[in-house]
Amino acid sequence: MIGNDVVDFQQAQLDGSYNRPRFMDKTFNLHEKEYILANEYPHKMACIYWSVKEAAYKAYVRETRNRFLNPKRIHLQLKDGVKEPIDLLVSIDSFSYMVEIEVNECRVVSVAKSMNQFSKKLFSHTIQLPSNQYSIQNVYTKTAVLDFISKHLNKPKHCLSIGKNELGIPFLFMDGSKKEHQISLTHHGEYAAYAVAF
Amino acid sequence: MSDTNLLEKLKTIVEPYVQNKEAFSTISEETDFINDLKINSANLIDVALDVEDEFDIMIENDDMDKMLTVKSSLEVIEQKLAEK
Repeated sequence: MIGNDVVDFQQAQLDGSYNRPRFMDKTFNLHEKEYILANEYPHKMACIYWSVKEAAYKAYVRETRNRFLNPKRIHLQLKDGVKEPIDLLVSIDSFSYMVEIEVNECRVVSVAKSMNQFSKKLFSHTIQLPSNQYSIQNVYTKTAVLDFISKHLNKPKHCLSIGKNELGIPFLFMDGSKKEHQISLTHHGEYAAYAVAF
Repeated sequence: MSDTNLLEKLKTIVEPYVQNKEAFSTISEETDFINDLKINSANLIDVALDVEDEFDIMIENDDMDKMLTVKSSLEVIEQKLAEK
């Protein structure tokens, strides 16, 4: 199972959530907070860890169909001496996920996959959005992922569409029937990202 | 406090974080914060913090765990107010 998440650092600064001390208390376990505060750029680290947790959470919901609002249930396996990790092992209850992290100066993109029996081919792309309006961002991101799938599967775009189930998980429909391919979509601030597993 | 009052207060708290304004205009107990109102999940933590401030209650992470809908949030608030 897969899940992804993007955090736009500038947008996160504007949102202000990470500047609330109680936000940090509700979101990060003690050792995670220690790593964040020890970093030269604590705000950026908080954004990175949040996005890792969120990506793993999405994979977990896809796997278990169980939703919750409690980031401290999501545990990051942090390694001493690694300032900016490129991947992290994450556990939620008895489930484990490997999360790949791609960071630049503007944003972080995290892509999670289940540790058990994941044999699909996973693609991840990040795009810069033309607008900060939610509805436009949503359409733009869906169009981008359908363009990609259309090219990858060599299938005309009009045969493809994206629907969501009752948990909010996106699914691919091809010629009207639901496919097994996994799609995860995310956008925040100026950035969107999609992950697709074939 | 009546259920209507609680709902009104919760609506005021939630409004700044709502991305789907249309769904907000028809908010009910059944409304889901993420799937209907498109509130981003970091902002859901902000909602929990704002609820703590507004009602002067403490929401532990185990209580926050289920605050994904209007209905379950109202239940948590009611329970915490009753414990005061």
